[in-house]
Amino acid sequence: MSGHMSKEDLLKAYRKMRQIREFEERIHTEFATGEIPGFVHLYAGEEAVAVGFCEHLNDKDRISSTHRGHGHCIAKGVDIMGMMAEIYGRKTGTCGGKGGSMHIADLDVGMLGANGIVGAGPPLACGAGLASKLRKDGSVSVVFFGDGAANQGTNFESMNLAVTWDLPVVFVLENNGYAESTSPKYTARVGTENIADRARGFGMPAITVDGNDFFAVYEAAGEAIERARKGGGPAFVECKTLRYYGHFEGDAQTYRPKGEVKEARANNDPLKRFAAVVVAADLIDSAELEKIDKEVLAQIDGAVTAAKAAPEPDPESLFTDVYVSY
Amino acid sequence: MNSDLVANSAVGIIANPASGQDIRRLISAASGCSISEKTNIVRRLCLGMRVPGVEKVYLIPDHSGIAGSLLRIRDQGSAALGENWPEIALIDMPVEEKAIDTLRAVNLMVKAGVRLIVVLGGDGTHRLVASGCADIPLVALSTGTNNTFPHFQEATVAGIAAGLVATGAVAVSDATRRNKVLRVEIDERCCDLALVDLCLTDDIWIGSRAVWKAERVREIFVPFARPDAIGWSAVAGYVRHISRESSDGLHLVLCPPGQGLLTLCAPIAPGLILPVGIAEIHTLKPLDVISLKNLTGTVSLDGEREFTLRQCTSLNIWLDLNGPLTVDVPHVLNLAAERGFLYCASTESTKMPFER
Repeated sequence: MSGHMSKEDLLKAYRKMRQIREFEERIHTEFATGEIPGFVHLYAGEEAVAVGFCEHLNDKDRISSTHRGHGHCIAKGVDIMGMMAEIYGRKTGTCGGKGGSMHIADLDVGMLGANGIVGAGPPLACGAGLASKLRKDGSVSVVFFGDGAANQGTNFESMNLAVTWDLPVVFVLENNGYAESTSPKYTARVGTENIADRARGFGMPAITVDGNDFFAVYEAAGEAIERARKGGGPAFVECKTLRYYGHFEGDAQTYRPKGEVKEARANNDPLKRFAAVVVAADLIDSAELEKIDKEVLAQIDGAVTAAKAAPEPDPESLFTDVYVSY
Repeated sequence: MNSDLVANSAVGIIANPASGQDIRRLISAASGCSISEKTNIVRRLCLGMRVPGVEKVYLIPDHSGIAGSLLRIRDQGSAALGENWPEIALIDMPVEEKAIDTLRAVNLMVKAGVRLIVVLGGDGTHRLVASGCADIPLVALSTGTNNTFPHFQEATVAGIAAGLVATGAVAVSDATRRNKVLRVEIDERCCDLALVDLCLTDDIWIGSRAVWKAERVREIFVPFARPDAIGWSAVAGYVRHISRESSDGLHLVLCPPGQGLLTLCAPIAPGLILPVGIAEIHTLKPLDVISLKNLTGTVSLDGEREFTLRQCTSLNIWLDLNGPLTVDVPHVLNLAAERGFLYCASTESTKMPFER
């Protein structure tokens, strides 16, 4: 990674983060009406991580995601109209309305899928990384996973595999402080404060960054991805962040300290911090950011309206997009 | 000997959980230092400090980081292994996992009357402690990335030396030396310091804090310069050796490699050696204020970007000989050995020399 971000890049990054935020805020509201089937897990508050990484990726690079995958999808370039329709279970959805929130995938843009299984993403990223290595196409895989998944055997096995085979995989730990409702402090003796400590044991470089600071994430992501792309092997970046909503929509969140989210929204919000930096440095006028805010609000409005108006999948579609035909 | 001991022999330990974790592990071959290892270091410090009789150690509180782990290890160590520990006291303070934790803890340790503070971290951590410790001596131990101010020293040994000073067995005046610092004032209000180096960079944000792109560094200021240093201080050290004891500092203006007065290859971070061009060399004299205006970019202190500058920002930088006191660990142990402080009470006894 060299040079600074251009103004165009900065505006694009801000738009992505704003899209994620408004998408999630709107899902939060709409889910309460009962119109959205299934479960949703919202990414609001963690935008700097997904966007900070995906800004360094192209469509040939792959990401694997989690149950909290909307942010990763948007950051990687999945169509927002299709995503909203997918979450509403409509025929026009990214996966024909048959996947829902936790199974949005779009291989055309390198999004291997959100995933309902905690810790299922790291092996997928290793598989994609192995494909990259065998094809020698210079692509990179990035796996986003949480502090809960960090304790899963799949994650440990994947870190070991990635190091053993020198795979171009970047492990991105989104440490939002709660594995569903449990702090990492209660689930391990090693790497409780900095889970990155564990990754070093496998022999890969591992760092911890402020996951709410877009610029810190962006710099770390750029170095880790470029290193992997050049053949330097896997790396591990722990991003300390906070989700603004519960583990799932409807979570009473009795495990949270009172005022935690309010404080974070006021003083540690990734979008506000981004805006403060670029405006203070005279890189972008605040009016330009406000214009993006309005455009994104309208875009999300349009996505919800279109999703609600779209048809549901035909019953016959149950027999398509499956591995076995009957 | 016991009668000479000061009544309050409390010691503070600042062990930065974030040190040794930053981006330099990606862009260079820098080592990491895990929480587990830092906890182990603190354990060795505590056991060492107990030899001369330190009674109480203050730590930043946490549930599962260094302090939490240390309490578990202490309970295991003292019960199962017969280890002799000082009392461990956790400071009553909120923890935000930010630099403010260190500043707050140092302030409270000073108020609690600690005799000295042991610091585990890199140059950045030591800078934070130095900004609030006044004349409380520091034992500066390295666990960070670019470590020019603190030293690599076995913690058991450093703990014994710290204990000798904290208990008064070796006087502060015999044990310590005064360090130089760079003071920086931004817009005539925000004042900070650097122990090792101050850089003006072209970066437009603070981001991951570390400074490793030579093409973005415009100027370097150092209070001392040694060619065996690592980081931006090493660049100055290659130009001119300025000891910690001398009353000078150095100011370099950089340029692209191959231009200017000279080009040198300097170890900017562990394993990262880059060509650096030197355009101008200026000696810094104490209290001579360098005033700069119409700058953009960032100011880095001891290798970490701290402040962003705007066109209207004014910057004052000066060398101050009145920096923090640091304990010279080898010298303290030499004195203790010469004076027989570490002998057991008698040839028949295996009791610790200061055991009551």
